[in-house]
Amino acid sequence: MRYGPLCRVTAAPKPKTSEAHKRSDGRTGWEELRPVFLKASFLSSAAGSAYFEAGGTKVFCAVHGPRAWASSSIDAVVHCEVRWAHFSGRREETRTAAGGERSRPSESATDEERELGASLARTLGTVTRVEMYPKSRIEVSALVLEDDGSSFAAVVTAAALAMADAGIEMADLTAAMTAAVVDGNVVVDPNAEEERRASGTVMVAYMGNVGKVTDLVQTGEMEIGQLAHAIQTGCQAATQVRGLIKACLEKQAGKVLKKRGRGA
Amino acid sequence: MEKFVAPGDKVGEVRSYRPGHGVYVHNDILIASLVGTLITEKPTNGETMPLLRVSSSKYAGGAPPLPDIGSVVTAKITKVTPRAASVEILVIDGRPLRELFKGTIRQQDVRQTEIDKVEIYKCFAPSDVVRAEVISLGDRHAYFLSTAKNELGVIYAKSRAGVAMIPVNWQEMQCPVSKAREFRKVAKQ
Amino acid sequence: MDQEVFQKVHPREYLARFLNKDVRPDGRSLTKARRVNITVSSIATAVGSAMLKMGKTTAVAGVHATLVQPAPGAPDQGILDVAVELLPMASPNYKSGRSSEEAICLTEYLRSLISPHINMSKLCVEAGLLVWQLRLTVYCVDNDGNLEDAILLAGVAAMRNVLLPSVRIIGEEVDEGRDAQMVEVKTENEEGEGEAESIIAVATVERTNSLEIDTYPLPISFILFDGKVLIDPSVAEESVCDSRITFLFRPTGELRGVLKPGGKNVPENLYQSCLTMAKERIPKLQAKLEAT
Repeated sequence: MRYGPLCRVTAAPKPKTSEAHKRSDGRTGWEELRPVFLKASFLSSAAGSAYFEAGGTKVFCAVHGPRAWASSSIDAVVHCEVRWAHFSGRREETRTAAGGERSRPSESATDEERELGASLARTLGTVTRVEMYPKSRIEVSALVLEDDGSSFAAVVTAAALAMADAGIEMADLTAAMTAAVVDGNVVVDPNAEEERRASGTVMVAYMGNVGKVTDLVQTGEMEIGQLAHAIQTGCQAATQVRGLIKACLEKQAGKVLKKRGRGA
Repeated sequence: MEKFVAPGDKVGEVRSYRPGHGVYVHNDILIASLVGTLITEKPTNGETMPLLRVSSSKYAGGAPPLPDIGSVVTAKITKVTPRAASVEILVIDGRPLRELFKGTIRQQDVRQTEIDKVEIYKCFAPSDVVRAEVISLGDRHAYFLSTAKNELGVIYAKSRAGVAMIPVNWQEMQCPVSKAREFRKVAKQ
Repeated sequence: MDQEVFQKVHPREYLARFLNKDVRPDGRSLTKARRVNITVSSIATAVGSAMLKMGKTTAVAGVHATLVQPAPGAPDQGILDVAVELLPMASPNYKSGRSSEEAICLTEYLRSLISPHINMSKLCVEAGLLVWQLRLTVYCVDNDGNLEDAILLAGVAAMRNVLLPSVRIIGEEVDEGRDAQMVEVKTENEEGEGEAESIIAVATVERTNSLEIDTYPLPISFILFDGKVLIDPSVAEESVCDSRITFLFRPTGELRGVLKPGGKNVPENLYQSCLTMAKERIPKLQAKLEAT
């Protein structure tokens, strides 16, 4: 919870050195993921949609289209809009950096949101079989309701589920994961508190079955060995999440079939 | 045996199967690109290998509908000019669209005979509903459609009195109230 | 012609065909409103939050709190900002980018109905020095019609859910331990120059101060179609309606306002039957909100 543009949390929970591998939110392993909750097809007006929750981080994502698009390229274009809710706990930090401001009546996307939207579009554009949807645009819209760390990775994962739910042809189900260096250790799926203390983070979007990385963003500083380790453990964790995405889709498909069965 | 697959799942190898809808080939391996049930089709005449395709769980025909060459569409006329009629495509191959796609029926694509004598305003009027076929992906703005077949053309039109008209012959419709006749390129029922 | 195709091609006739049999396309009767479901406090980063579902229509409302210096003209008044965001995910008709006219209208609608019920002096920490600035944002994530009611109910539920920490201004930084959080607010120099001073305050981690909102608006909307009235319209029904009318009540059941933005005239008898239906529904809506 943050209250002022220049607030400082003095009561930050301190890492307990006495217990090995104990993390601030109670996890006991550096590679342990937070509890994950996934749901597909939960919005009525979109072609496909997803809700993704990892610990406190909560993301909504919807896919519209393919819709008509006058473009010079014959292949489909993927367009993404990513927003952090005003109350998600994230916007303020990024806004303060850009010069503190009073509220606006209604807001447009920040530069960071635009940049991350473009980044998501590149990732999805790579994994989507764009040649199947000539002259069209696939539109992805994501909203981070609560940011308790690793939120962009959550957006990528939610978007992959929403795209699959929309019946868009893709090379693989992409899942993303963040790894951070906190107090010299590489931790996977950091929460907001760990992200604040991290000296460096790396986010990797990975196609678990095809075995290819589609996006990699490293910020802060990391030793080369740590980076390699972070990418590797990040990819392993992403593969784990891919399994959860598939399970979620299978469950949804079962629901649809049941409904059809009843209707017949 | 029905098998559930998701994009990225390996489903077979090129030496034993052919890829169908929702399946692609990467490094000689067949991989699913859609969510759904994997279906194996026995080789038909001339083919030696069975075909693998994915039947999508959410959409009857697989992926979301998109106009393609040969698709039969239901469309609403939005504008009529001496050279062409503009339409909004509503339904493709019996599946309603979620999104708006625009189409154009050019003068030369209205009917089969006497192409150069076609007067567009004697064939369509704004708000008419037509059945047409996609003949090309068209230009930047619209798909090109054709009604040059007996079964294609106007399937619903309102008279000036605001009542649905009844086809009289292939180029006229009649208002059941005022008995007035209006010209249309009528689709054969 | 297939039902779905018929709806796409002739939306008005499609709806009329159902209404002639006194039923709506989603199976409801003309007088049946959709089920409302409200969950609160699910967003830990907000001081108050609510997620509302009305049938398939979904809105998420959250309140963000900041400590600021009060405006010069109102030294003991807090500040409330309101925004409604219609995200592209909510409907194929919403485009990304700048706020649409619809979003701006809904923002004004929400602001004008909620602001009068908030006691701004409750948001004062120390007159002339420090007040709370609250920002209520309602995100529409799924529009299946009757957004007006959904957004207002979600906004009211989120504001009623607000709990603020106790704040105390202190002279200098002291470590208050795990139960408190330091807040430093830069004061604006009158001339805008010179050394900026700051107010240092300490906020409790525990949040117990409610805004004590005891009266609030409860909306019930209808549409008029071919001389028939339909309560709580879906998006397909709204798209072909002749006019729209919203009644606003107090929680006690008294009518406090009617909104009828344009459209065809509503005959007196239909107006009365809307009002009767609305009055019946108010206690149910009120109970839903009070239960949160």
